[in-house]
Amino acid sequence: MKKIIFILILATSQWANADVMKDFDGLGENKDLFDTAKALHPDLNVTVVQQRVVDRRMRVELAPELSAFTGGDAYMDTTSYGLTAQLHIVPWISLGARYAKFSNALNKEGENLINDVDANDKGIIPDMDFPKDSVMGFVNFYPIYGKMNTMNIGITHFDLYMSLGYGNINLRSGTTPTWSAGGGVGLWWSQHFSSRFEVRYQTYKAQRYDQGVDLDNVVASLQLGYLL
Amino acid sequence: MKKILIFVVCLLSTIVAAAEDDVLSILGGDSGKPKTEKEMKQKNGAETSPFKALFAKTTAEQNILFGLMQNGEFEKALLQYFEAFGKSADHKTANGQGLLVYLFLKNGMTVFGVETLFSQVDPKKLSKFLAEPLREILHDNHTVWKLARIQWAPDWTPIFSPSVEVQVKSNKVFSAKDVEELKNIIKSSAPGTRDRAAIQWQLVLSLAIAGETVTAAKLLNSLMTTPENPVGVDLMNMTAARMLFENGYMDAAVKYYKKIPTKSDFWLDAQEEMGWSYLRKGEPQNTLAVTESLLIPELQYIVGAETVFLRSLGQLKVCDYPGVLKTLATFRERFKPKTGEMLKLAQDASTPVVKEFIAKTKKQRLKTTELGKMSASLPRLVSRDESLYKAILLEREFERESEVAMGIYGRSLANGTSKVGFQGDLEIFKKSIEAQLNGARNASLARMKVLANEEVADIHRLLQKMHIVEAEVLQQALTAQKVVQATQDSKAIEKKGTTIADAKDQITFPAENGQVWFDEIGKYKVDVIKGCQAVKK
Repeated sequence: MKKIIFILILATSQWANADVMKDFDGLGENKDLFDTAKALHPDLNVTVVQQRVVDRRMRVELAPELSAFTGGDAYMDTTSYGLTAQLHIVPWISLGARYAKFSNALNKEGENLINDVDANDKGIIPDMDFPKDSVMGFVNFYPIYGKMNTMNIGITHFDLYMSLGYGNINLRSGTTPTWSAGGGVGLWWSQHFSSRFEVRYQTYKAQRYDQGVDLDNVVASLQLGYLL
Repeated sequence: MKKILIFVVCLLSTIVAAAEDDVLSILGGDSGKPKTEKEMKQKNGAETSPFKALFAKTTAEQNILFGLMQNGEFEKALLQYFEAFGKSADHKTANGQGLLVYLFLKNGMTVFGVETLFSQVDPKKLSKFLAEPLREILHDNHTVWKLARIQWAPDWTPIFSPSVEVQVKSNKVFSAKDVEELKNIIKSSAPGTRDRAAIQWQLVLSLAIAGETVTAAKLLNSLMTTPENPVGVDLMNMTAARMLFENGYMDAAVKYYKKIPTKSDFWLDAQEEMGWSYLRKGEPQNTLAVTESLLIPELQYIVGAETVFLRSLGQLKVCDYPGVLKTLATFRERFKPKTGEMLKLAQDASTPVVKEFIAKTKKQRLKTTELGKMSASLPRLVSRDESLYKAILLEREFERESEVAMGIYGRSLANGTSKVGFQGDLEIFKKSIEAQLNGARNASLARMKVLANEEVADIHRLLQKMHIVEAEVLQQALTAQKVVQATQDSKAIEKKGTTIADAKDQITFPAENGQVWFDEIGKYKVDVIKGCQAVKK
């Protein structure tokens, strides 16, 4: 009798289990009728709303900077190192100041110009009004933001920004105004660490053979920042 | 003559009494003074062992046992016990069993010892000379009180303590019917202790289940501020949210659900229940936002069937029929294989995955998110089940104690006295602890089967509801044209999502279908435009 009951229970449970699996069949597969209701399909606007990872309201950022200049004096390679300090008023605007110390060296063309002598055994020595240092103020606008997957370690937020600057540059011939315009990308690695890659156009009037000439530079700079 | 007789009787009785007290004290094993501290102990041990006083008359084998105990040779003493007491009438007495338990405890077999004590010993008959050393080992904060499967009798309370009583009683799974029992346990617990807080927590749950939510809420509120918080703050917040939900305070409930951080093991539950709150509030767009996170493929094994059902209801509420179709398919694709796995598990829980899970849990309790690939073949709530966790811990403890017992058994030939090492009693003891270990292993597997069966039942219940959703969609689809006609000139209704509170410095990103960024989970916002309205061409 016990055996019969056991077999019955077993059979019933197997049947019930089969029933569960069978119940899945056909679920959500009646597509024809759904098509008739598409007229009521609503517009769903799905967005992701997040907080900025790094707070950039009334925060000061200090960043050492290395820059390379191109497009200025044809016979000289100019690089600079310096420090920028900026105040982030809101995440989309910051005001800052930059001090840069320049390093200048004759490039190959400049060296050749001096070394290649003419029939009178004389080379050409160009008049070069090289920069020594500069102080500039600037304002950055951050209209575009984004985020990136950093080698599957974490998500890093970034901003693309535009920069406008004005200040004085101290040249061999004396001090002259300079202004710049450009843009870059700022990466916010953590609450305190940032980095920027910036490209800007910078111009100033240099003296050549007692005549003022506009020198148009393209400056590429890299900054590693610390947010206080 | 009378005087002489009295004198003779007195003399004889003194000699007999002395002989009965201790032959050693009369004849003296060592006439000289003990030379070393060990000898002193041995001498004193044989003469003054408090355990000896428990028994009216001791045999030579028993005296050897007491001597071994006094020397701190508890392994040998345990072996000797079976020869000394195995066939004695004292073996079955409370003191005989109590002495055996004491030896188990001294040999590191704590759970086995405690379970033997509570099943074999009548506390009323246990001598206070034995109770004292037992209490010393089994102090109030001993972990064994959370593990051992024991039935508390009131007579144990003076032997151990009210704190132990509360701990043991709070191990039980209480139901709504146990409110009075819980109140009585609270009365016997000391105020301001963790024990009391733990039992008060049980009372909160029982009151809530019994529908006495106001009383439960008051008690919960006081528990949330106590430093002796018996459970994590997340579970407290979840419980508060659930009570508010049950009583229809949806906004307050959502506030509590939002307190559960993403890293918490309760986050998925909080999100799902928040989705229900939004639905009951009449904000299906927010239900869709919440379930958008939960239904990502990466979470499929740890998200329950109810979440998928919830999403289908949200979609139904905004007439997103293609969305419902997709969700119905998701339900079938996810839970048909899972049901198959659970049915297999319910038949035979001794699978490699279960073994792996148990082995890992023995080392460290796993969180749901730490289950990884195992979660495909395990019941969803496996890592949160207290009964299973306790069974696994018990299994681990019995494995350790069994190893101890086997070691003692193995060494019995070498270490025993002249008469020990061959006894059937020792074999019985070995088999007994092995049986406990097998019982604990079976209990883990049996609990796993129960969880698998519960999951099948849950999926089946929701599967039937999904069929109702499908039928409702078909019904609504048939009347869709009427709705189109009735609403084609009406002003478009827009339901803005409110899952993410407005705050400074928010940034928004489009939600890409099929692409999951983990930092975006729980950050979705859904706006529904023209839900259940005709779309103007």
